[in-house]
Amino acid sequence: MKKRNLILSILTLSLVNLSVVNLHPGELKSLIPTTGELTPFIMSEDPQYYYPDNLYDYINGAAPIFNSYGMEEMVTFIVMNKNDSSEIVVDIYDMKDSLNAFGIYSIERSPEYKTVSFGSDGFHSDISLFFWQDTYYVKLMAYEDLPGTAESLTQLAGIISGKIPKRGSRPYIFSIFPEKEQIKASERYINQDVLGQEYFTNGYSIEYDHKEYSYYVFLIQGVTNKQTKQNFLKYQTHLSINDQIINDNLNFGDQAFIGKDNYYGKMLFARKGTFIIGILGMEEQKIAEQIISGMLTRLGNNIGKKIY
Amino acid sequence: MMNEPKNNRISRKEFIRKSSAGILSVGLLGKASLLLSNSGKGFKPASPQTRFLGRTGIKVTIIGFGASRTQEPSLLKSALDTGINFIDTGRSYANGQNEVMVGKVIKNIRKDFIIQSKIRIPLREKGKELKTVEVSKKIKNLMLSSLNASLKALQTDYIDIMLIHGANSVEIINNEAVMEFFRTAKEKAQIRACGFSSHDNQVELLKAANESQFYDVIMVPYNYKGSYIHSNTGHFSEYDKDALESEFLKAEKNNIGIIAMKTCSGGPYSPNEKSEPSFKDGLKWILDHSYIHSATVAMGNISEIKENIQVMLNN
Repeated sequence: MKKRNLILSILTLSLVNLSVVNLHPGELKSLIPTTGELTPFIMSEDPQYYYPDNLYDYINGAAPIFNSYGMEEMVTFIVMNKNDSSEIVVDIYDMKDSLNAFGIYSIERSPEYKTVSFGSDGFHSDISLFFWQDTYYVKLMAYEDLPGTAESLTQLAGIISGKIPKRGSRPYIFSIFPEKEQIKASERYINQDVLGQEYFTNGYSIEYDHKEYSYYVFLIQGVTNKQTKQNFLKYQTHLSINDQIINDNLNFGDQAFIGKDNYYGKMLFARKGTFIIGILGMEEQKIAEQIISGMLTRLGNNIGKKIY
Repeated sequence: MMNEPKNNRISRKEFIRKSSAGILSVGLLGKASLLLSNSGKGFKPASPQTRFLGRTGIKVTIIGFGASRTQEPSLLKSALDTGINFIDTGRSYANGQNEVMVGKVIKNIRKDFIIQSKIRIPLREKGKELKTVEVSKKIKNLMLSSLNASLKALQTDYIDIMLIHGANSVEIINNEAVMEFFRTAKEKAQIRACGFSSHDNQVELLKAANESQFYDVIMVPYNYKGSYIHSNTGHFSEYDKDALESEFLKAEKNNIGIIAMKTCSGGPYSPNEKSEPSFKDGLKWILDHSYIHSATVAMGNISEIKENIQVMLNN
């Protein structure tokens, strides 16, 4: 009996120790460059790990949006360039899947930033360089714009990108959107509260430049026909209560209406199967209808299926 | 860090979903109160409740729209259409894109709204690096750069209230370079009021602010519980409620504006045994204290706006 208890105790302790060791899971750790890989940089602050329940301690009110995109773990550390003593903060977020990695990246970028060819896609400003690759979102931030800052950021991005084995690519679903007049780098994946409606999840949008104004194309992917139909009706009812429906007597798609959004202006909304498409801010109804028709044709046999 | 058992925690989203049947069918205060219309003949609350933010002369609605959880301009516009005039954003939200979103919505109606934004002072530890003149100069330059970026993103030439984001030490808020930055920004009319937000250590910081009386506005977590578990992140924090309220009373005497945040993160509240706990009553509890001038609530969808504006109409 004593021997059995001893064995059980040893086993229990071993399991406890394993769980303590796994408090910093291995994958993100493997992306941290070694001393040799970091040259000409050196680590000036040890890596710190954050998780959904304590990310707030690091980035305060910016944390919820990362968590809403499914952040699993992040690591942050500071490196210093030995040549000029300038420092760069490195944040690497493991977003668990590449769609969410793209999603959080898309929320934080702007068409005004310059693109960089790191990872799947990236952008930089004077003192920062962000990119997404596979399931990771990487943010490199310098404190100030010194003569060597741009080069340091580029160099460091190359080092870290090289440690991530896979690449990832822009979500396929954006190929459904029209290409003409598309504003570059305006694609967004919004995983919840699309258009401020809690029943709309899994939304994609692109901004377009048309004559003297811009308009937006939204695609919301539902789960089942029934649920998508109900959600479409909820949105229509919400607009109707607020006097924002212009015409709901349309023979277009499975359901359709023309309405007016309080920010975007005129909009055409239509549903086909599990896909809802909205053209917001386009004044010309005929063009809006053509856009939706084109998208539905490209969706083709995918109507009723889940695509990314 | 103490953690409440998860099964005691009810997220705001779950709460709204469970009670939504009653809310949507009855329409709360009647159909009129739920209309969020821009039609020109749409309804706006006749007189949304407002308070002056201490000595600043800035009048804010008692409910402010916390913009951090959304990038959707249509949602912000809906909130503003209800009569909310106070928008809280921050330079670090969505890498500055949250300010861009706010700027797009208010650019042609700027004078009607109060914008509060925040600057992060990028230090890793509590005031550790603030000791040298060189670093102080660096801080001032960083803050100036951040302010200019905020003004550009918000498409405005002034920001009503600028806060240090997440101040966590007295050394930071009492730093001469930081204070000099704010003085200069006010002289140039780039900001109207200055202050800080604090998520931890708020009693100590409020005490220091009461002593210096430099800052015009302070934003801290405050709710009936004296603690909160952030519904999205699970972050737990607690504070000495009595000590905090004692400092609030001093701040009121000093005419410092106080904004409450994390107002719903203490969970739903019931004022008596007969009432069902609600987030609305939690907000009312906060606003029943005259030293609180506004409560900012981060809102991510229309349902949350509808629930929160009730407090603005009824208080």
